[in-house]
Amino acid sequence: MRQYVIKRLLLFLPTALLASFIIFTLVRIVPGDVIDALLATNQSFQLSPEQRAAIRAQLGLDRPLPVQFVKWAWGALRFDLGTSFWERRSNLHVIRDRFERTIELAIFALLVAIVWGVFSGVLSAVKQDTWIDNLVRVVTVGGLALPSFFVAVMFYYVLLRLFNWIPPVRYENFLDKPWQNIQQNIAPALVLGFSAGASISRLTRSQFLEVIREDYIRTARAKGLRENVVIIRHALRNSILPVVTVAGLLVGVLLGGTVIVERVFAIPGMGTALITAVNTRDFSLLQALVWIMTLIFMTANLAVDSAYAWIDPRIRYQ
Amino acid sequence: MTGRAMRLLVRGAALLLLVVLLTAVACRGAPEAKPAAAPTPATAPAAPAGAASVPTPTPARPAALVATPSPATAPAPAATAPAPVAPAEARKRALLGAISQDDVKGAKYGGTVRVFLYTADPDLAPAQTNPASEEAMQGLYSKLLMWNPFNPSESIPDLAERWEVDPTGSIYTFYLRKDVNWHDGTPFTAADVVATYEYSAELWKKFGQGRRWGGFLSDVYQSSRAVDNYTLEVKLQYPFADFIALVSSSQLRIAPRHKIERFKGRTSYEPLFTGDDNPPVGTGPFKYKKWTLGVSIEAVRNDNYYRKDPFGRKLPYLDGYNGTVMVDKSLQFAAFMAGRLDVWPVFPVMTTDEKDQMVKRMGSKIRVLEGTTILHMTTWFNLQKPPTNNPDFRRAISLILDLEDMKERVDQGHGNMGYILDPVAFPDYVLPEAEMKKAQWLALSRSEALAEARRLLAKIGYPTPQDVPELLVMAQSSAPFNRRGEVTGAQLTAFGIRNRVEIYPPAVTFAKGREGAFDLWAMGLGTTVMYPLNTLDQNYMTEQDAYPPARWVTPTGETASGQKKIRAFYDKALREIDPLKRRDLIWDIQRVLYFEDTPKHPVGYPMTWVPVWSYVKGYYVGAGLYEGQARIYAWLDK
Repeated sequence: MRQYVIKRLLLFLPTALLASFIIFTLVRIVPGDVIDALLATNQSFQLSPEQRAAIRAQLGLDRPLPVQFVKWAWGALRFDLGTSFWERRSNLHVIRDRFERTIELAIFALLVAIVWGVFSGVLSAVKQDTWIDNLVRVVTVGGLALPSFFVAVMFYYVLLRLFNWIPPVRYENFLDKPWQNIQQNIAPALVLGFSAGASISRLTRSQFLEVIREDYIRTARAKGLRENVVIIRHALRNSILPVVTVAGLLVGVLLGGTVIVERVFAIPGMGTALITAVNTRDFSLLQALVWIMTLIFMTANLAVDSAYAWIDPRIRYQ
Repeated sequence: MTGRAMRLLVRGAALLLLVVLLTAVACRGAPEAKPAAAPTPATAPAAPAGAASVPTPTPARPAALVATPSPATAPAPAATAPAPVAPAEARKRALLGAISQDDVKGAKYGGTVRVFLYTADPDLAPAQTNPASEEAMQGLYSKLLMWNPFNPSESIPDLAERWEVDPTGSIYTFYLRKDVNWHDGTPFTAADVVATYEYSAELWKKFGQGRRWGGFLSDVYQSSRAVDNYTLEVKLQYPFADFIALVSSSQLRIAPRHKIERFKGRTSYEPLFTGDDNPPVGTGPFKYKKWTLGVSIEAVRNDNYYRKDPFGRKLPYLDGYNGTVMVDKSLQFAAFMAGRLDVWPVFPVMTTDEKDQMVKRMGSKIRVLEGTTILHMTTWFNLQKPPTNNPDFRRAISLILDLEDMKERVDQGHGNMGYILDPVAFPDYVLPEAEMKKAQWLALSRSEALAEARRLLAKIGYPTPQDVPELLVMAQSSAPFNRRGEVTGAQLTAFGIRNRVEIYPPAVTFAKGREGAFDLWAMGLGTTVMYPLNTLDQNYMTEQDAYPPARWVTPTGETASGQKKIRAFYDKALREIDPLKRRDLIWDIQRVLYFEDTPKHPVGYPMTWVPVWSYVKGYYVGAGLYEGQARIYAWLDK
């Protein structure tokens, strides 16, 4: 197990570097840099070529591209993620401010996804071919088919039309104003969790249906165990392994999904920072965000993979 | 049918029903197509209902053109009701966002007004501005002079009590108030203004930052000095009659010397203020409380604010204001309608359809102010490549573009088309309409204009519109530019000219513009300082563009024939202190733009709607769009 974890950890850095390199290349294919963004924001055309060259030199954009990347990568390996071109402060500072907001939302959404996904999947399996099963399956298909931004906008629309109310729009830290923080996070968490939980629900249902037909389940029932004990202690535990895999992958999905949902719900997290960095051509912050998100995603997957052995004692790492 | 098939069918039908239900709910709130309702002016008691025409400038010398120094003493606050104004003047004041003394007579103290910022800005200093950051920080700072909220065309004292100008028109002396302190308690003196002006000029010259502040100032500014603590002398490079307008505009807010000093000698740009660790310090009606970057800004009342209202009472009335960053338009609307916001800002521009939706839903809970965006829309031609490098081709395009159609489709009838200067903001400088309408694309009927366009195209080797090579029409993705680009493309298509409309994010648009990767560019630039030469400088003095002279010069090194004339008139107008002569020069510039060949084609000015909840009183848009965001006279009637 230890060797397995160490091997996986050693893969983190090259993977994160590769992801940052891909972003470094892709973002520079699109025309424009942060100076163009500044001119666009200020609606100003009047910048001389000399002034432009001076700003580029200040930002290091006049150096050859390989030099720019190597310099950045060397700094990243030492956890110096550079300075945001747009915000003119350390990228770590920017990300630190936003990280907790995104992770808070992602965890909340993941909890919603797991709770609703597993519960609805089990319910659907237990009540197979009843109206409950059909209803759950329709809802989960909706969760898979409908884009999260559409669900988010509809959510607001329904709240506004029915109750003339929407959640608070100004973000407050949980430690400062916990109730407002919960109010603000619950809507996007439900939206994200609804979409993410749909895949968990369907997977849980199909796994559960397989497991519930196994001999040991029949044996458990024959022994006179209560049905909820059979379902939870025997059937669920054996069917949950693939769901754990999906949940791990969902961390990445949720981090990506927060990009849109954060914007719609005005959550100032890493997702909105990502969009802003793209729009303002803030290459430095963009690379730093991708770097951090890659590390988070890989950590989550490692945690999920490590959890397998705990869930299923039969699994051993070679 | 088998059981399995039946189950599949039931599930499919249930899913379809769900989608239909959701769509029905969504469509229930969709706007119905109906003519725009006549705007309801917030003030202007004598404004004619539904009046859409703009006051026509009169041939007599208008009062606004008279450039005189201030009265020897500052005018005493008027405690009595002002004389009634003519309907045209009242309409103009309403459109420029004036309030009346009646609006503030019953003002109550207390409350916090909530606004949204459609983008976050990392620098809270006066120099770095965009409309969203103006919303965030206008209330923190003051200027030497300000536009009168009760008569937006008039400059009145602010930090300066009075001013004088020497007979040459190049040296201005400002006599400053002695009762002003910075928010951190430091006394305000003339040295602060000197430091601010020097800093802003350096910001532009050295770092290319803050064009809208230092850039303009550095065009005319030579030096300044503190004669004593409360007397400031400013020397200009030449007599500049609009200097008072420049000083009154929101772009020349004053920052403290003790904050600016730490930037002396720096070699790279750093923000002047960054937040809690380096908070903004001003002399404005509100003090900085908290700035969470990308999230919100909070400001509280400055209890030591020096201004009083017309009735001698302390200002401001509000306890403070909060600005929340909200980028998504659907959220902006939802938040306003749910009462999470009190005021809609000037940007993003609100269309008439959106306004009607809001009014339909909210009724008397809101009132809607009307204002001009002072955003001059133009169509740019790329002079570097065919066919737009041909003056006859450019003339043909000007004839093809139907401005009235564009007004209906883009602005929903809410705009002033064909004008080079905003007729609301600068009515005295707009070329007389009778002359303006002689411009070929305004004088001819649509059929005549299109026939003439065909003739011009045939003359230069395109017998039919279909023979014209495909044109690339570029526009940026933010409204109203994107829509304008689409309509431009649609009008060309209707005429028969093949084209491709490409909409990009703003930064990409600017980059492609720099590379010359366009034929036509549906563009627009806002007037940021309230004098007409600023509009002309921003939009038509192409030599100063970031894309010099590459885009505005043909491959043989010539510019459009009218461009040199425009430059000559402009340079002369900058230095002309006689108001009528200056007006005439500004008219001459417009004549060239209307009747001769230039790289840019004027389209016009969209108007905008600014809804506020009815309990928000004393709020005004103000001259130059940004004045009202100081919220000096705003109060909450609840």
